[in-house]
Parts: sequence; structure tokens; C-alpha cells
Amino acid sequence: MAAEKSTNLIDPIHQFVITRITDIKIGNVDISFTNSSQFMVIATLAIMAFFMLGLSKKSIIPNRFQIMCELSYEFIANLLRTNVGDQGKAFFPFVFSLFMFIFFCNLIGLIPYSFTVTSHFAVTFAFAGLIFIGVTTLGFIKNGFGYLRMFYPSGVPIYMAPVIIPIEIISYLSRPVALSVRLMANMLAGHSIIKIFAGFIVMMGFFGVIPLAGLVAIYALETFIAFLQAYIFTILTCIYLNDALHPHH
Amino acid sequence: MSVKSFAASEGGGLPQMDISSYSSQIFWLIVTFGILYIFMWKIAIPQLRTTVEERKDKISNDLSDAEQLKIEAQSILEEYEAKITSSNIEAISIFNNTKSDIDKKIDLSKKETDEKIKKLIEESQQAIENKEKNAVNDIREKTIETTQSIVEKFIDKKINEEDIRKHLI
Repeated sequence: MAAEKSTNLIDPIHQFVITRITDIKIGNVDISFTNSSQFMVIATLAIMAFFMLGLSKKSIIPNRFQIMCELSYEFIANLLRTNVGDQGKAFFPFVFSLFMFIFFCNLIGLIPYSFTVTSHFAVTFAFAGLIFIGVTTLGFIKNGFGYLRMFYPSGVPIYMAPVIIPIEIISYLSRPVALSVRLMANMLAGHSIIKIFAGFIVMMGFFGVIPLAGLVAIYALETFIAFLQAYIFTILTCIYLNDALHPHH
Repeated sequence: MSVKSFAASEGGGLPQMDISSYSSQIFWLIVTFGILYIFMWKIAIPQLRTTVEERKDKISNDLSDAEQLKIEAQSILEEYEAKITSSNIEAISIFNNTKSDIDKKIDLSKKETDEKIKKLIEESQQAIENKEKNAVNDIREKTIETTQSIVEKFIDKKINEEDIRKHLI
């Protein structure tokens, strides 16, 4: 049943299928260049082009492209400064790249016939896992075993420890899962809804204008969500970084 | 067709759950994100930082320059006002001095003129008095002479001048 559906044009899941473009294998590991890889490259090139264009004529009075570049720079710099403080400066290149990459992948995914890199669990979990491992390592480097005190908040009575500590540990370990699933599920659901509405337009013929109006509204909402999810991913990264650098809250 | 789907996604279920595609996705993610990270770290961010900071510097410099100029303008204005007040005072004093000078001169010339007039009046009066006196004397002399000659004609005898004078008032 599912196999039949995947050939159907209206199948909302079809857009997430990964197809090989070039077969590449190193040993037993399959690293084929796929449509997903292709859109990762496109997103990266788009970001580079965005900054190259914006910074081609650096002037005191900026043009529109330069304003966009500087706005994104100031936006993430402020985000990092308010959430982490001055110690977060070392992580600015990572946080800025992360935001731009996720934002551009989300946006490019909204273009019809394109592919949404961030709708795949492998990608979002790779980011979330990297952040989780990085933040945990950083926490132990900066605080030693004192970092473990994060699981036992100060002011909690000692008899509560057997309850609080497992909860804190579970919540800490679930961070990467929550972080990655949130982004991937938002992209998956949003793009599926767009596809379903688009299917209604075809099915309803002339009355398709009704779902078309709905589709326009959802498209606007999805554009906003593309930004919002990138923002949430970035701000949570900042918060985790802050926890690692200043664990005593 | 060279485009091939991953086996599991053709078999059904969510393509996201197809573990066989994970290695390729993660590999290319590392490659692309790595390149992006290096680009941002080495090229984009330093340039952005310098432009943003340059602008901040420029703005703060301009602001401090403006502040400086404002202070300068203020002091120039004060100087100007002080000059105006001092020149006003000077003008008033010049006016007053000139006025008093002129007044003094007027007074002086008035006095001189008055004195001259007085002297002239006195002299004239003197002259008039003298002329009057002379005239009376002349008349007397002439009367005596006339009387003398009339009497001489009548009595052929010269009367002494003194006698006549005695009879004159």
C-alpha cells in the first residue's frame, strides 16, 4: 500500500525521500551524494553568496544586502551575549553558522520541488548530538566534577535528592532528543500540510481557490516557522552553553 | 535512470526512519557545515566585526566631535555676547562724553557771547553819554558865540564870554 502511495504525486511524504545522485562508498560506509547532500551544498553556497554580496562593498552607510548581513550578525551576537555572556564569544562562529545553516535549509526547503535537509532526523540529531557532547565536555573541562552538581540544584532538601537527581539526569539526557525532534517534526509536519493542501487544490478543481487561499496563509506561517525553529534551536544551544559555563543557577 | 531511492523508503514508512541513509547524510553534513563554519569563522565574521565596529567608532567619534563643536560654538557665542555688551557700554560712554563736551562748549561760547554783548552795550552807552555831553557843550559854545555876535551887532561892543556864560543856565 505504501509502495503504491510513494509513486502518487499527492503523497505528502514523497518529498522527504532521499535519492542517490552519485554512488560513493568508503569501505562499507555509504556516503553517496544524494538530493539531501545537494541541498546542503546549495544552502552552504547560498549563505556564502549572501555574505559575499553583503560584504563586497563594505561601507559605513550600508546597502540593503549589507544591512541584512549585519542584522543577522547583530541578532545572533545579541542572542549569545544575553544568554551566555562574554565567555560565549569563542562559540560565536559555531552558533552563527548553526543558525544560518538551519535557517537557510528551512527556507530553501519551502521552494517547490526542493528538499528540506532539516526534515531528517539524522541531520537534526547530528547537530543536537554534537551540541550535547560539546556542551557536556565543556562543562566538565570548565567545572571538573563540580559540573555534576547541576543535577542537584542548591536549596533542595537532601531527602528530595533520590527523586530530583534522576529527573534532572533524564531531562539532561533528553535534551538532544527534544532539540532534534522539535526541528525535524516541525519541518516534516509543515511541509506535509503544504503538500496536502496543494493536493486539495488539484482535487477540488475550480473550488480549489479555497485551499489555495489556505495554502498561501500556511506558506506565510511556514516561512515564519522556518525562522522560528532556527531561532529556537540556536537559543537552546546558547542556554545549554550557558549551563556548561555557569552551572550554578 | 541513475536516480535511485534508498531501499527502505521504497519499501514504505517514513524516509526519516531509513537508517541506511544516515551515514551519507551525516557525512555530507560534516563536509558542508565544516566548510560553512570555516567560511564564517575566517571570512564573514571578521569582516562583519570590523565593519560594525568601524561604524560604531565613526558614530561615537562624530558624536564627540559634535559635542566639541557645540562647546566651541557656545564659547564663541559667549565671547560675541561679551563683545557686544562691552561695545554697548563703550558706545554709551562715548555718547555721554561727547554730549558733556558739547554741552561745555555750548556753555562756554554762550558765556563769551554774553560778555561780548554786555561790553558792547556798555561801550555804546558810554559813547552815547559822551556824545550827549559834547552836544550840550557844543550847543552852549555855539549859543555863546551866537549871542556874542548878535550883541556885537546890536551894540557894537564885544561882551565878555564869561558874562554870557553867567546868564546861561
